[in-house]
Amino acid sequence: MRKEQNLKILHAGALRKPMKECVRLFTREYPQVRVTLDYAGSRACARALLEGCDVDVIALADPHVFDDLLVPRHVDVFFVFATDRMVLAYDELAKYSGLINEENWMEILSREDVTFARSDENLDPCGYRALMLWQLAGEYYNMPGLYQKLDTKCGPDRIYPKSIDLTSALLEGRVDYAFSYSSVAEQFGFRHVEFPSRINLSNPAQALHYSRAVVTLEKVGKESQVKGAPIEFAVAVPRNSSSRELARQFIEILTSSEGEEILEDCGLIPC
Amino acid sequence: MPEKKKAADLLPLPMEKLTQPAILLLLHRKEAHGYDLIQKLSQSRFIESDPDTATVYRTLRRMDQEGLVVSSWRHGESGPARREYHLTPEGQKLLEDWIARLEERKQQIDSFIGYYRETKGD
Repeated sequence: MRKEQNLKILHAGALRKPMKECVRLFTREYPQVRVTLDYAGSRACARALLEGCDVDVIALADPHVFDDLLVPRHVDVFFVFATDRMVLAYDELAKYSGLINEENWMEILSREDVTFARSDENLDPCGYRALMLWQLAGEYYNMPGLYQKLDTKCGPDRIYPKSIDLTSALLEGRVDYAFSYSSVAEQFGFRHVEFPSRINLSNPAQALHYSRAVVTLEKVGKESQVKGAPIEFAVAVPRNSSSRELARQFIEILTSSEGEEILEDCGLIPC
Repeated sequence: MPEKKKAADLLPLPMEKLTQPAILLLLHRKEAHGYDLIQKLSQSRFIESDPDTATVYRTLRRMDQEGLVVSSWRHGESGPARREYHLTPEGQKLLEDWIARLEERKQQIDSFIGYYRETKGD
């Protein structure tokens, strides 16, 4: 009797749709393999691995999380496979949805009756990227104090564990706007405000400029600082994987031309 | 009063068209990954503004499919592994075609400017 094979994938919430699609491709080639998909904020994923969670493939929303928490003890090599950019997502029911644009979003978000959300910087890269964007925006629009103003208004009840949670907050009307990835906004059909490339963390040509934005994170027992950088998603096979060959095959599919088409259809930029 | 147009507005040249020869030229000098190429394109004076990230990565993928470049995963001693691109003989040939076309165009432009200066009496 053939032994059942398993593949456990843990991924950033923002990768929910492309990962599910890539699993479909994978199971077409490996129908005998039982694939388990689980997701969380990228830093929460890394912490799960640190706490001994059994994982064969880990895909995160920031290579920095691998470097900061997992290399070299739990992961040796990690592969960058896609990029994205920050946007401000909303739907037609958001207050002032007909007015907001690239030039006035700071003023609209400051209005008393408007609510907006971000994800938790300690659990999810989209959270610290929102804070970085606010820092860079203060300088770009010459609005000292913008960061403080936005940070004060976006209180704990508007901070969600992972970026994908922002979509349900928007869909259910709990908030008017959310700082999210362009791919997530596209997947859920949200309208979005595009930010200039100087602040949207999309362009490697602006890497030095982005690095001026710094966010302090809680790390087990101490604090760590993360600098702004172009958004990238990376994937790895953890050292303790019990299905290394299958995990490698999954990454082959994710980075194949078919996998790239899926990423592109989901609004990501394969790289 | 209508705003005066600049020459760049009158003679639009899609950036994507110039991205491919610029990538061929950079890869002719040294193999590189997309992130690195975007930074080098920005530092070079081959294209006017910062290259668009999506345009560069899409152009690289298309060039890979067309056999102008080949890619492989490359990781250094630290940091992530990235897809690194190398020029193929077909890519090298296309770069040479581009250089010939640009030389021809340069001569046309030189003649154009020379004629203007003669007329003006410079």
